[in-house]
Amino acid sequence: MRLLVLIFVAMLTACSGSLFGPPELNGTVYSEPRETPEFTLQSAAGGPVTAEDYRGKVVPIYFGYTFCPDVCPTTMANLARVQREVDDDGDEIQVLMITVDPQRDEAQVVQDYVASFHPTFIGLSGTEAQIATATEPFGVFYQAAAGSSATDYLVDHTARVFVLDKSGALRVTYAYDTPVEDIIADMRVLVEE
Amino acid sequence: MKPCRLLLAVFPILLAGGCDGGSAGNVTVESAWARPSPQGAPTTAFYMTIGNNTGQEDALQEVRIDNCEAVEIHRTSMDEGGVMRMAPVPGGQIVVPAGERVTLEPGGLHLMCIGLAQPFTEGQEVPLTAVFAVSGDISATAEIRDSR
Repeated sequence: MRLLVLIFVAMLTACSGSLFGPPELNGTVYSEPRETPEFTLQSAAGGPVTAEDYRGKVVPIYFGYTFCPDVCPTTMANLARVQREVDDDGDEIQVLMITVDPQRDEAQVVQDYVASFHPTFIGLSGTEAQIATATEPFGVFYQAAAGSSATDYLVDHTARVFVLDKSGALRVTYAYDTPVEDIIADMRVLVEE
Repeated sequence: MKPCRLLLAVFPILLAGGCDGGSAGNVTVESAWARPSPQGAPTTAFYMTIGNNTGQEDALQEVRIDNCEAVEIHRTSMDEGGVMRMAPVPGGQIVVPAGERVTLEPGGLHLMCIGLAQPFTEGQEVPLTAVFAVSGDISATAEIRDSR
């Protein structure tokens, strides 16, 4: 009898992780907690911006550029849908787009671009060195590639969305082709933490 | 004699029917669309489906859109690490084999419109001319809308 009770308790303990633990996320969750990424960038509002400024909110971050016609607007349109459906007022979620093309994109240019997708979005730029530093904690690759006479140059870049949770930790990342519904479901979880 | 007369009557109909579904078809440009332009965006992408209902291979070689300074045919590709690369398609054209359809869509083949004279706005209908190697100029209209 005592053995049965022990087995029952052991099973209950084993199950409690999945039954009562935090819901699993659809995105790729970092196996070890990552500290708040350190970067200093420029916003259109003026003054330096760091990741600490957004602590307390869930922060999806996308590295892109305004000259990009396909993947960048597709991703920003998807994030706009996430924002509208989960937190249209922007109280809980703060989407950031950080340019990987500071030569073309001053902070005001990125801000005007992202605000067209959702009024709460923030666009950030910086010096070449500031952008390089900002990409490091995320493992983001970017590199200018020769274009035509019309495009001059294009920028190859990592096309994932990275999300900081409310504690500022780099928590989860999404591939370009992740269904928007999966991101929406995850954001609903993260804003409740 | 009667069966023979019947065959003679039916033969032209069969022939016409066969031609309609095969080599006498044409190349079509369908469901063309693009997103409304974000403020200040100097570029955008147009998407569409090309149907080749003819009996021979054709190729999209050029697209003309009045509001775009230049239009290039590009393909976006993604490597295993999630790095996006966008480049003109090899040979500068999209080959559409006989009887097949090719879809230009986000994250893949697209028409890169460079140097917008005016931003594209939701609900706008944009005339375009698609130039094919065999079929020549085909006119179509692209719808400006948020997304599919």
